[in-house]
Order: sequence, then C-alpha cells, then structure tokens
Amino acid sequence: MTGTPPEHTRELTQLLRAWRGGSQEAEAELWPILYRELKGLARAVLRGRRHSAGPQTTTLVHEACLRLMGSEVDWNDRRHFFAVAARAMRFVLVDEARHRLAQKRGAEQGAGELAEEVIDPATLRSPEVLAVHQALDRLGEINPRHVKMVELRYFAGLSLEETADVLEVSRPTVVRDWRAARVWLHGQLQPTAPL
Amino acid sequence: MREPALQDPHPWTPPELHRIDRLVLEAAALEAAHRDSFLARQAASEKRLVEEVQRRLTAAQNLPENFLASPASLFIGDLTLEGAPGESLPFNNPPDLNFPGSSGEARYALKERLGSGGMASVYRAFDRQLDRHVALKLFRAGDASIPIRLLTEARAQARIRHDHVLEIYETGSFQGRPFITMRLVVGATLAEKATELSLEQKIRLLEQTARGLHAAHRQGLLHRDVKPSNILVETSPEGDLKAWVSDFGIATELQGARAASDLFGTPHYMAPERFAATPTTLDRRSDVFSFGVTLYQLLSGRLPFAGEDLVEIRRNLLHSPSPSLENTAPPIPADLRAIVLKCLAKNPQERYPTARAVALDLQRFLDGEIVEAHTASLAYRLTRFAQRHRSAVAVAGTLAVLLVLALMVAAGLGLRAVQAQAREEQRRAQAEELIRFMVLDLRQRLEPLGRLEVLDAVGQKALDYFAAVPEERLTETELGRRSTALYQIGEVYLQQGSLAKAVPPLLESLELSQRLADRAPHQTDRLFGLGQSHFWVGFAHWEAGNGSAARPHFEAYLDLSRRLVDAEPGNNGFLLELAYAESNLAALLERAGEIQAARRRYANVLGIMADLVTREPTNSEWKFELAAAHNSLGEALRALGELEAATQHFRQELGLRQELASLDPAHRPWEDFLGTSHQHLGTLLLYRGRWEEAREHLSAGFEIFTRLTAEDPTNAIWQYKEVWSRLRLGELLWAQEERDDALALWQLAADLTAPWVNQQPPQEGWQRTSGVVALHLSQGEEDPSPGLVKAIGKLRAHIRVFPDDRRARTWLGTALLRLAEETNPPELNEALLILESLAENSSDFHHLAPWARALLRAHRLERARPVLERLWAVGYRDRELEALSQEKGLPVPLSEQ
Repeated sequence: MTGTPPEHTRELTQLLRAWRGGSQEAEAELWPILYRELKGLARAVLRGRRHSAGPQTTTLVHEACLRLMGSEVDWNDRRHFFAVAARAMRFVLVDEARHRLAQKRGAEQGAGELAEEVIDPATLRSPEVLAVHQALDRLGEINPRHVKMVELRYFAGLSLEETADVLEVSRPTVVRDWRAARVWLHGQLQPTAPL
Repeated sequence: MREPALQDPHPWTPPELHRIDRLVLEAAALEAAHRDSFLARQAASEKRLVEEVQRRLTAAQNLPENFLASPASLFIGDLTLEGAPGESLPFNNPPDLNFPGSSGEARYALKERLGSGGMASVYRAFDRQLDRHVALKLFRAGDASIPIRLLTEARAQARIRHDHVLEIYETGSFQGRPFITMRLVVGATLAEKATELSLEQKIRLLEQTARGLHAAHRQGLLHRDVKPSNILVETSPEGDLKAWVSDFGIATELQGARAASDLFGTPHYMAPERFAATPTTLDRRSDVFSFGVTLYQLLSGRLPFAGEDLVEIRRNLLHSPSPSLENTAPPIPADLRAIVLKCLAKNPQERYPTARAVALDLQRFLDGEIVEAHTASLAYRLTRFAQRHRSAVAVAGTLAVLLVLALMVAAGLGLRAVQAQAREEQRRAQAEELIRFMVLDLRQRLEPLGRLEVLDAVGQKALDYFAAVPEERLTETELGRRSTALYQIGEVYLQQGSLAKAVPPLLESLELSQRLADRAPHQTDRLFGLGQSHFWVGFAHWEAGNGSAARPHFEAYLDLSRRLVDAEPGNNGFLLELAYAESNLAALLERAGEIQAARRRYANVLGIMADLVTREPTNSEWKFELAAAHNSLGEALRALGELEAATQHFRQELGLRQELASLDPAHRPWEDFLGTSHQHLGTLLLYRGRWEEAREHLSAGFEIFTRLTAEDPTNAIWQYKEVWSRLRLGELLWAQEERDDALALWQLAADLTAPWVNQQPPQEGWQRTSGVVALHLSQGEEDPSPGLVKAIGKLRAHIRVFPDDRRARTWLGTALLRLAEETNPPELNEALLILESLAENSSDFHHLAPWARALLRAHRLERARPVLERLWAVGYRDRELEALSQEKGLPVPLSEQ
C-alpha cells in the first residue's frame, strides 16, 4: 500500500514547504516520518546492517535525506529537511543514550564487577548526549538559534558550511555562535552546573 | 557535631542565572581578546554576575579541543568501528568540583544526620542565606553516573508543585559530592510511623500520597520507587498528619522508561512488568502497583510478595497470586481489600489506570461510598471462576454466581444507600455508575463465556432500585439518567435474547425520554436521549424479526438525529449518530428487500463518514466506520447486480482495513475485520470468475482466521468466520478442479461447526452454516443424495426457527435442486417454488444463479434465457452453470479474460 517513491518524495517536499510556510500540521506530519526513518537507520547501524545509499554519505541525516528525498533534491528542500531532521535526530540519540545508560545500570545492578565489560564507547558517551540534550532546553530560553545550531552540528553532524546554509547565516557567524555555545555548554555540563 | 564548611557554588536567583547565561553566551561569541573589554562595559551593579561569567569563561579556557567536536550522531556509527572515542567525556573523570563560592561564607551549616541510603545521606542543615532549616541530601562521591542522575532527580521533582510532593530547593556540590536541598519535614517516614497510626489515618495519608503521585504522573514523571520509606509524614503542631512523596531518586521521564534494562526500585515493591523478559514500556500503573504493595503492607503489617532473594521475590511477584487479606486481625474491610487487590493486579490493564482513581476510591471508602474496585474485582473473580469451571457453572454454578451478584447488588444499592441517605444525589449517580458498569463492563467479560444470563438478576435489582425511588423526588437530570439506565438494562436483555423482557424497560425508557424532550424540545441532550430510546425500541423489534414495527422507531431516530445535526452542524458526535441512523434504516430496508432504497441510505452513510474522516483524519474509529460503510454499500450494489461498483467499494474497504490493521498490529478486532474484508472481496471475485485474485484474498482471510482461532479457541465469532473462510476457499478450489483440497477444507469446516450447532438458544448463523457445510460436502460423495437429504433437513429445521432468513432459503432451494438433479423427483418443484420467490424482483446473483439452474433443469429454457443473460451481463461467472447453459443451447458469457 505504499506509494511509489516519486509520490512519496513529492508529498514530503510539499510538507517541508508547508512547514517552512509556518504550518503546524505539516510539522506534526513530518516529525514521525523523519523520526522513524532516522530511528530505523540508527537501529540498522547498531545491528551492523548499515547500507549506504550513496558514495559520500557521512551521517544518518544525510543518509535519510538521500533515501527519502532522492539525490535530485532541490537545495532549498534539502535545507528544510535538515532543519526538521536535526531535531528528530536529537531525540533518536537521546533515546538511544537513555537506553544504553539504563542497560549499563541494569548490568551493574545484576552483577557488580561485570559492569566493566558492558561499557562500550557509545555507553560512555551517553551521559554527554543526555546532558547536552537537557542543557539545550535552558539554552533555548536565551537564544533558540544556538539550540538549532547545536542540533545541526552536534546531533545531526552537519558541517559548518551546511549549518550556515540551513540557518541562512554566514560561515563566520556559525563559527562564532558555535564557539559561544561550546563555552556555554561546558559551563552547563560540569556536574554541579546550576539547574 | 562539628559543622563542615560547605561552599555554596551558586547563590543566584533565577533572573540572575538567566543574566549570567546570557552574558556567557555573548562574551564567548567574541574572540578571547575582546571579552574583557565587553565585560568591562557591563554595569557596575552587575559586578558579582560578571565575576561569575569570568569564572566560567576561565574554566572554559581549558576546554578540550574535541569537546563536542565529534557529532553525537557518529557515536552510534562508532559502534561498528574499532578504536576508542574522543576524550570529551566530562562525566567520566569529574574535575575537582570544590571551587570557592563568591560570598566567602559557607551557606549551609550541616546539623544531624536524618538518615542514609545506598547513594546518599540526608542531613538537617541550616541555610544561612535564606535563614531556614532544610533537608540536605549529600551524595557519595565516586559514582560517575551520580551527576546525571542528580540532574534528573532534581529537575524531575522540582517541576512538580503539589501539596503532597516534597519541594526541591536547590542543588550544589561540596568537595566533589553533589547535594540537593529540600523542604525539611518534621516527622518520620511512613515506614517508621506505620505502627502508631489508626486505619483511618493510614488511609488518609495514602490517599494524599496517591494524589501526589498523580501530580507527578501528570508532569510525565514516574516515581518508580514508591514505598513506605519514601513517604514522609509531617505532624503539624495541631497534630494533623500530612503525607509528602519524596525521593524521586530514580524518577525517569515517562517516555523511554524501559522495564527489563532498568531495574532500579526496591524489588519487593516493583511491578511484575518491570521484571518481564521482553522490555515493555512502563507507565503510571507500575507506580500504582508499588503503591498497592505499600497499601498492603500498611494494612497487614507484612509484604505481599516476600522472598529470601531477588530470584524468589521475582518469582512471587510474577506468579504468586496476591495473598489474601481476609483473615487479618483486626479485619480489613472488604472494600479496602478490593482496592488493594485492584492495585496489585498482575496485568497492568486490570489495575487502576491512574493514581487519581486510587485516591478517589480511598476517598469513597472513607466516606462510606461504593468502591469501584469492589465491583470490578468481583466481576473479575466471577469471570475467572466461570472460566475455570465452564461446564460446572453451566449447571450448578449459576446459582452461586447469582448469589454473589445478588450480594453485590444488595451491597451496592441497598446497604450503602442507607448509609448515604444524606447524599442522595451522589448515591443515585453511583447507582447509575454501577449499573453502567454491570451493563457494559460485566457484559463484555461475560459475553465471550456465553454467560449473559447472570446479568439477569442484576438488571432486575437495578429496576427494583429505580422503582423504589419515588418519581416526584427525581430531578429532570435524574429522570434522564433513569431513562439511560433503563435502555441499558433493556440492551442486556436483548443480548440475552429475552426479547419479551427487554421491551418493557425499553418502552419505559422511551416514554420517560419523550416526556423529557417534550418539556424542552430544543435541548439537544433531551433529543439525543429520545433518539437513543427510539433506537433501542426499534432494535428490539428488529431483533424479533418484526421489521414493520421497528421502522417507525428507526425513522424517528433518523429524524431526531437530523435535527441534532441541524442544531449543531459542527458536532461530530451528532453527525455520527446520523450516520448510524441512516445505516439502521438502510439495514431494515435491505432486509425488507427494498435494496434500491437501502442503497441510497448507505450512500448517505458513506458520505457522512467520509466527511467525518476528512474532519479528523487521524480518528481510526471513524475510518473503521468508513470501511463499514463501503462494505454495506458494496453489499447493496452486489445485490443489485452492479458487481464492478461493488468490487470497487470492497477494495476501498479493504484498503482502509489494511491501514487500520497496520496502525496497531496487536489489536485483534482490526485484524478480524481485515480478514472479513478479504473474505468479502475474495467471494465476490470468485463469483466474477477472477480466480487468481479471489484465491489471493480468500487465502489471506483464511490465514487470518485460522491464526485468530488458534489464539483464542473460545471466540465463537472467529470460529464462525474461519468456517466460512474454509467454505469459500473450498468453493474456489472446487471450481479450479482441486477437489481433494476443497473437500478437506469442507470436512474441517464441518468438524468446527459441529460443537456450535446444538447450542441453546439456537444461533441463527451456526444452524444455517451446518446445513451449508453438509450441502458442500455432499458434492464429494459418490452418491450425494444422503448428504443432500441431511443438508435439506438441517436447513428446513433452521427455517422453522428463522422463517425470514433469505440466505437459508436460497441454500435450501439450491440443496433441493441438487437433490432433484440426482433423483429427478418432486424436490425440483419445491426448489423452483422457493428459488422463484427469492429471484423475483432480485438482482442478486445469489438468488438468480440457482434460479437459472433450476429453470434449466426443468427445461423451461425460454424462462431461463433472460435470467442467464442478466447474470452474464453483470459479470457473473459459474463454470457449471455455463456448461449447462451451453448444453441446452442457451447463451454463455463472452470470454473477457
């Protein structure tokens, strides 16, 4: 019962444009599509079944864009896609990080010294992901653009150029904001950071 | 005790913090060289704030190059790579956290230790700045995951503002050890306090606890460690007690709480699903369970699921029934026991859905009201009892069941009513609630068991109750409630098949609602009530097979629904009523043979449902109804011989069913309807000669129903559908010359049908089906006659009970015709007679095809010709009939495929 790929892409493109035009409904519809796609990709990677759809794919978000929008995608639509996908990616990763921490704690609970074995790199990084996620809510109270940028850079893994493109700002602005956000987050990520 | 000098890291108010954050962000955007001059430009009054900004900027000078440099998205990808991640792990090796505070003096003075747990100790402390005593929870150092959990805990609890949730003030750190300050409660934990409390005090405190929990749940937070030692009891100077839920130490946002991998909590209090092997998403009902353990322990002084070690506790939690609370000293009231047991249900679905519901029941208990859990758990136990003793219940059990129910009703409607005479309105509302529960919930439980007759006593008691309340003392609202209760009771009688009993309460309901509507003809709720009453009276007649008596009521219902929609065009509920009303009348017309009129009504239904689905595209119930509308219209079109149009509607129906089933693959009813939809489409395609497609859909339906019945062999409806899926798939195979397979399918259908045939009262569907199965099976016999005689006997017996069943008469005509083809006897005349009466004015191929065949057998070729032409024109295909027609020199269908 699925539509043919071009139809699918056309629908997505329309949603992205409606979203850009400020449509709340469009975002509500886009979100699950992108979230599920990204989640599925992430899971596939975790199970070691990662298939890159193109030669230069670097991140899951790029991969998702290629899969959902095709390679002929209009640059404007691609920007919108990244803007929405970055937020979705944030939640995919936070979910995964939570899951991993929970597993780790579960293992610790079950068998004290065995805990070492289950700590893999991803688990080690999970607290960072969660801490950044939580700190972003606070950052949003000060400057939402910085939040978007951290989502694009840190969660979606976009380059400086791509980030500038999506945010429609110059590259130096991104460099500057990114520096500021890192310093600010560093202050937040200290374990005793004020809440 | 020596006072440790606690450094205070951040004595800022929220606006100050906000300002600092903003300044950090702005300063950090600048090149390092320009930051000082930027900060120097800030107002002198902000000196303290600027110092903090400076401190943070300085701390960040040591920011590792790779801090947040690699995207988080790669950390997933890294799993497939070899090598270690970067060093940007602030939590792995926490830096020294003991930095000097700005004010110089330590803010908190630690006093005595109030308690200690695995992760932290709690002290009484004095907050010098705010001049108050607080509770200070100081964590042990060294656990790398503490900071993040600390964040979570404090954020979680601080978000909730509630009378019974302990307030969090602040967080900080001392010598590398994180701490939290919170409201200092003068008192003790519930665990310590339990033995000195009266039953009422315990219940009041737990009722407050439940409300506090609910407040947390509403914020999306699970407590996950509900137990007596996490509930603080404050004693006011006046001696009043107040409960505080504390220690959301392991509270995790509801979303993402995973059971199997996240075993925190104290095992004795943990909900069974948190031990489950397959990760299930936890919800508030897990806290309800822990709350139930707490309640149990407080009432009985012991744990419900004890054990030496985790393994034993887990086994008891998962598999042991909740131990009885019946023989305790002092005794625990039955209503309270029911509340505890409902909290402790193994299956989350059977627990209270919310902590608030528990709180309400506890409150009701305190007020001497009817407790919801009591009725529910009784119903549940009854169902379980009936399931365990199905055969015994059928004979001896009825009496016991009735006794229990009578007791329940007496308790619910009699004794409590006396207690609560001062609150008559509340009593009535609850009586109605109880009746609603019995009628809807209890019925749902008893229906699959075929035990509806046990509701009889309940209904009678309820009617007695209403009869005993003098009408002049009832307000109009109460009359409305009474009318509702009456038609619900009538509905139960209808379900039981006791039509005679159903009619009086239904008519009384109609009369009541008519009176109410006359008094206020423009009040939509009155019109609505009147419409419902009309519907039920009409439905009773309809069930009795008396269409002409049902018709005026269905028409009144339709008229009222139209008025409701006119009054409130934006009210989707009324629009839905209108769709139902159109649909009911259509069904009535259809049964009366007025297919064209029915078709127009069904088209109206389709229009309304399509409109509703456009209004709310995500409403799956309406999509479900839309699918049903396609089906009804498709059936009507089929009967009118418009097979292509019918096929289109069946296809649309199937599309919607597939969509619904994919939304929730675990929802059996949707799968059931998907199977039925395949079945309908497949059958129609079968008769249009589209073998390949027909096979695909009939197989899909067959596959679904065999799966469903394997899952639940007690479900009569699934069994019935499986039988028909076997029959139809067999017909296809037979037509495709795969006769052995067809016969095997039919034989199994016969085996499945046998146990259902002799049920009392007789079930219309099963009786007819058993005749049809016999008819099919006779085709495989060398001499089909005995089988046909058997089929004819069954169908005749069935028609004696259900004279209006046109489908049964069609099958009887077919069976007689087949017998006549074998033996050439008088049966042919009877077949002709029956089939002619059915085919008259009909365009349904189910009627026309056997009629044509009978005419051919009787050599009435000129009479047969137009019927055959009609059949071929609409696209009907039937190889046997085509062969017969050709043999007699009559037309055959043009081969289009």
